[in-house]
Amino acid sequence: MESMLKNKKTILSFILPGLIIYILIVIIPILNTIYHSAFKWNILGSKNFIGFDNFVNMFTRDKIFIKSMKNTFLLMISSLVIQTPLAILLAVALSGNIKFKRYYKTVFFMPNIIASVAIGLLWSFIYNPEFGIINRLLEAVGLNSLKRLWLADMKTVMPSIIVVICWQFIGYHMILYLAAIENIPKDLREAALIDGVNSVKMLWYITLPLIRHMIGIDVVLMATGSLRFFDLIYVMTNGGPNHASEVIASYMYYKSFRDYQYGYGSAVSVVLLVLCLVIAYILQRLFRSEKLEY
Amino acid sequence: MKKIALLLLCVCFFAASVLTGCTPTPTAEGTGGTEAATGKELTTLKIEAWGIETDPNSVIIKEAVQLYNQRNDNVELTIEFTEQEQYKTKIATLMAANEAPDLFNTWAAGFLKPFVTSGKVYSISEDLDKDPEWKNRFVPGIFAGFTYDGKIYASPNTQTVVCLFYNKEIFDKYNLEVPETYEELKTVVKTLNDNGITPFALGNKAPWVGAMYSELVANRIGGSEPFDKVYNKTGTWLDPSFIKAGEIMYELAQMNAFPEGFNALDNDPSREMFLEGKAAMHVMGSWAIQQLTYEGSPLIGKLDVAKFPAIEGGKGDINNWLGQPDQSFAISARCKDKEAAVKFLKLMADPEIQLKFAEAGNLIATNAQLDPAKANPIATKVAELQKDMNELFIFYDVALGAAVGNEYNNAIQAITAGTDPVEAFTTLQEYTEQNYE
Repeated sequence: MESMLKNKKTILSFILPGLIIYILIVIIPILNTIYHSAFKWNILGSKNFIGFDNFVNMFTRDKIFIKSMKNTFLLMISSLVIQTPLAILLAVALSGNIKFKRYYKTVFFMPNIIASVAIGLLWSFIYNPEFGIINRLLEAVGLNSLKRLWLADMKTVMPSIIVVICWQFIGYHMILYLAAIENIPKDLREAALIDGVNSVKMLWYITLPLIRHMIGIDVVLMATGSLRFFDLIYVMTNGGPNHASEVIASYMYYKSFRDYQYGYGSAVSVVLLVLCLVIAYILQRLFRSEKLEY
Repeated sequence: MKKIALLLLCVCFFAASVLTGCTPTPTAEGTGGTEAATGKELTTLKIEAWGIETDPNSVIIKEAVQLYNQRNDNVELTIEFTEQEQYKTKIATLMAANEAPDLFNTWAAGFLKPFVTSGKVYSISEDLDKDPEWKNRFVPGIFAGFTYDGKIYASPNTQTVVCLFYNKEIFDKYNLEVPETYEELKTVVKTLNDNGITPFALGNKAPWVGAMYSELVANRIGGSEPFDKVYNKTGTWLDPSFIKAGEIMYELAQMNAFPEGFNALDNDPSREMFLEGKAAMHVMGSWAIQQLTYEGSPLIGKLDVAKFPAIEGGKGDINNWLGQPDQSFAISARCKDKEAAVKFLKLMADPEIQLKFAEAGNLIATNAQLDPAKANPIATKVAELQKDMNELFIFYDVALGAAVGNEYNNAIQAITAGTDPVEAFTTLQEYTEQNYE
């Protein structure tokens, strides 16, 4: 077995089927998209080569693109700032000896196994200004002045969506941290307890440094995930009202399949690809850590 | 081993080169034509249509398809319905993938234009000229929206005009007259509001609904010329009539002429408000006649219809109607059997089917005469009002096509939510310059 795996040909024959599929459905479409981004093309007619004009227009003249870029970054930063600490705190809480541990784990993870479309509809009902629970509740306690149109108001639409996104994904990140925390050997914690640390210090000096690698992985996952976020926005607002909740991915869809400007849509997706790569690289550098050995 | 690996690599590269080179090129396919020629084989033609299968008009179209299938042994039509917004995406995708259905539902002007210019649609001009009896059934001028470079590409079955529907009972109760001018409209709005009734049932979540109001207002102020100029690229959105129309939309919103949260309200629930008598007026296309006068509708006997009011000092005639030819079908260039497809268009334009459309409350596109007893009274009234029609101007988003049309609708929605009209139209103008072709 050992010698067989050293044979390069054997290795090749094992990875080749997967590699071919990967090349066909990932690499080639990406190259194809980059190629199309240099054209003005409405899918139906002939393609006109325009070089980098799509990109120049995007950054210099297209206000909606700039808006969608701002929203994408807003989404990413708020996800990082809100979800990471909350997920870690939840994971720490659930790693202790508390009652109904499994029950809470399931409850927090639940939004993750529901389809995004269902979540979008669910929250559309919650936010509905007529019969939605939020406005009804505000009405019931006499806070009529706080009632908003939520998803239909250009000012409240992004915060409203961010709340839903946090609600949906926090459980997922919590599970990742929980796994990392449970991997920390018990004797380390016990030793610390004998030395008399309180729970805040335990978190700060023992737990956090030891799950640093997981934070690094998770932050990259979260950042790239929010950069290419699409489904909830499509279901809840379709980028509206008046592009107020447009993100790069939804704008790409809008341009390609609503306006039929396929070349431009391709250019938008190329920008998205580059952004994801750059940000993932930066974050990975930031959280680079030595391999842990307990 | 080495050879196998090499072979696999070759396969991989071959597949890669095929795929990268595989961009759809428009080709006219003729599959199935030979089968039809033999007269024995069954040709199946596929129709794509928009709407929900249970919509009254969809039912009529389905009946027509069944009738066609009964009468023609060697052709079988199949039809599939898709919800309107999804349909637009679907048909564009099918067209791009060169998998267009044999016949498809289309809208006029800007919607069909890209398909026509890329050679995906079959022109029915010659067939119309060959059969004058068929051509002469249609009301004059109805083909204008389907004519590109002098050739006709689709045949409409109904017409749609935007009307001001109102609840007579509510108007009588508060001694109100149907407003004929904007000033009168404002008084009506005020009285209704004072009595706790929403003046207009407007659900503007999908912004095309509110855009119908502003298009009418803009036309009443400046006539059709400003928009024609935008359409021909000789004018801009900064024409005072557009901006004034935006201001009026904002003013109406501020006066609570629309329901609370109308920008978050869907069109369907807003119609419910009107049906239930919670709102007094409803500006909507004539397609709504069916939805307002179905059997058991709470509005029966109370519903009436009027022209959209004029604006004081405006150039636009009160007899200018906003609308379009509707329920139109086109034949795609790759259709297997064009003769059979044309036959279906003729069947649709036949009084046999046209009268069904009329009975269901549509304004029809042909001059088929309907028995007055069977006619929908509201549709008859609309037809009567339309007799003094000066001009039919087409929905902006239909005329300009998806890219710019959607942005106009968005701009109006933003204005009603408080964006400054000049700012909104400046942005729209920039967008139009970049995207309108």
